[in-house]
Amino acid sequence: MAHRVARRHRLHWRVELIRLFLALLFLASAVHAELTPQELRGRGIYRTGMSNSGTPVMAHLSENSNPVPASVLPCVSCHGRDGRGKDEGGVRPSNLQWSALTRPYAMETPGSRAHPPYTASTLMRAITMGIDSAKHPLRPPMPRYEMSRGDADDLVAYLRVAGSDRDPGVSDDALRIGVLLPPPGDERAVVQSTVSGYFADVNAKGGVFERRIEVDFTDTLSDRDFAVTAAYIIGREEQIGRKAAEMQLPVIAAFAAQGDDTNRYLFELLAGLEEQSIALINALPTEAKIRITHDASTAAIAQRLTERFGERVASSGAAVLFLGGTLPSPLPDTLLLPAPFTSDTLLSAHAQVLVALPLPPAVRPARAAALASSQLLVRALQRAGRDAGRESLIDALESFRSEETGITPPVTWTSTHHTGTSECVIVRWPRK
Amino acid sequence: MESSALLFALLLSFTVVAPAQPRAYTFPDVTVETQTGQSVHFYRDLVKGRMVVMNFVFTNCTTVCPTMGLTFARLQSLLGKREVALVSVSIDPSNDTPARLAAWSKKLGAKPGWTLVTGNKTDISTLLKSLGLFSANPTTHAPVVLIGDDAHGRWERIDGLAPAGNIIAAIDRISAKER
Repeated sequence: MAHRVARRHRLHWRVELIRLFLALLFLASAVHAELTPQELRGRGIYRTGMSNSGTPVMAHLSENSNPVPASVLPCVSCHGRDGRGKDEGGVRPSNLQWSALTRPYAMETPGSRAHPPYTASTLMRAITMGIDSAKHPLRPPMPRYEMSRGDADDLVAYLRVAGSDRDPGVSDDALRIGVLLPPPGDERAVVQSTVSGYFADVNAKGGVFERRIEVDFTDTLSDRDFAVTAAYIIGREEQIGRKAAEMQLPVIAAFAAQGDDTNRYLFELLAGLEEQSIALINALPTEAKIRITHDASTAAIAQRLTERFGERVASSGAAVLFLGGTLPSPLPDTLLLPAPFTSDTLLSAHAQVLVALPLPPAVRPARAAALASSQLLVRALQRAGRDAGRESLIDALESFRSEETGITPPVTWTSTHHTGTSECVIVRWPRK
Repeated sequence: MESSALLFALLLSFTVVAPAQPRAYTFPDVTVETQTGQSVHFYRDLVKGRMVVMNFVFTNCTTVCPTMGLTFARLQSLLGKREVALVSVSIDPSNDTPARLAAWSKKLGAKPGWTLVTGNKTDISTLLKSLGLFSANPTTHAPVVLIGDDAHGRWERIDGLAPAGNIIAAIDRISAKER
């Protein structure tokens, strides 16, 4: 009997020890989630190549090369926000996460040599002198950085926690997702109910990696959200795009008119003005000449279309592609209208009108686009993994190739192309 | 065992230091746009009869391309009296407008004598395919520098991440063969 009590006592202590260990683990991760002032300064140098210390941070490509501001070659460009390194052009930058740098045995990565674990001082030597922990010179793509001792200390302090600092909107059990709503009206209510219903279903099935999705319906981008989906940005593409880039906040635009493939943070689901215009012109006989009207906001698109279609674009074309501005007089035989320019006046004024729609007319666009963009967000979150930050979410979004949603044309996003599809439907008006 | 390791090491060192084999390229004379917005013929206006150093970049690229661009900027300061035209071809013409190329090269410290070109996607693909450098996804492109003397048909292809000094050495090697 006494023997059984002693065994139960030992078991109790083991359970307590395991609990204590788990609590310490939780504390450690909580500490990493909140960066110290020194780590925050280091993160600034890591991400921007700039320091607030007053001493400029410079980069050299090799020993004798001219120094350039490190903002041209910040660490984050090659090693990524999470420090793991991202492949490009056959180059595989090293994993800078502290656990990888300090593994207690010699590491050999593909295409490189073995080296012993790094310490803070050998890491500082690698950054400033380009010498690895085995005293070998680092390969040419890795610059040598010239910075003050204080800045180097800050950077190394950050590298001890890089990848474990969470992006905004993430907690242990929840992920906050913003929804940028359309202006007040029917569409707004449809988007709200569609997105609420979809994420309620996701949460009922356990959420994403055991995190509940909290939906934040909003009219402006906010840094309290991890990412934004079902965003309605027609008419304010530039403003939202700029803000998303400033906040480094991934935004999936369900409705947008003008694509911007140069913005890493903005993803567009459906065919925009340019894709719709191309589809409209391609719907005409190949010998048909087209005139393009435009205003200041569509001048760049008009220019690209003129380059693309060459001699088919003429000042006296019998068909007019309307991208704003004023309609020519006399009125053309055929009017080509991308979806954002449809209006009762334009639809009724002409004998033949071709309208481009990003979705078939039978589909309720607000519901379909809100649902498809939310589905794609969840799939990307699943691909990116539980520890994903905003940058790895972007990498996951950029990995979609002809991704089926069942309600929109298949979506492809790559690192250089953020308009999900060029497919659209051409409707002849009045419909027969 | 030791001798085979030595042989392997010798072979490896040979492949590292041996100059690339000269080869001939046929450049299609496609129309391209320079960073100043000027329309030019790629072969006639940028390559024909010249000593040229050429790389292949895109402005959205954050890893190897800034390094290749900085190597070109460094190369400009090392050229001295050598008459060499520097040409960067955008492998992402859909995004790289002349203005973007101009801003990108300015940030890297480009000086006159370095021409960056973009153009119609079909034409740029034709050009890249003719050089064996086409890649459907720009992010998987191989970093490469072509160095050549068109007048004598001598070209070398080296690692795009090699330091500027290696490019100078290749230029001098090609020039020496002409004498």
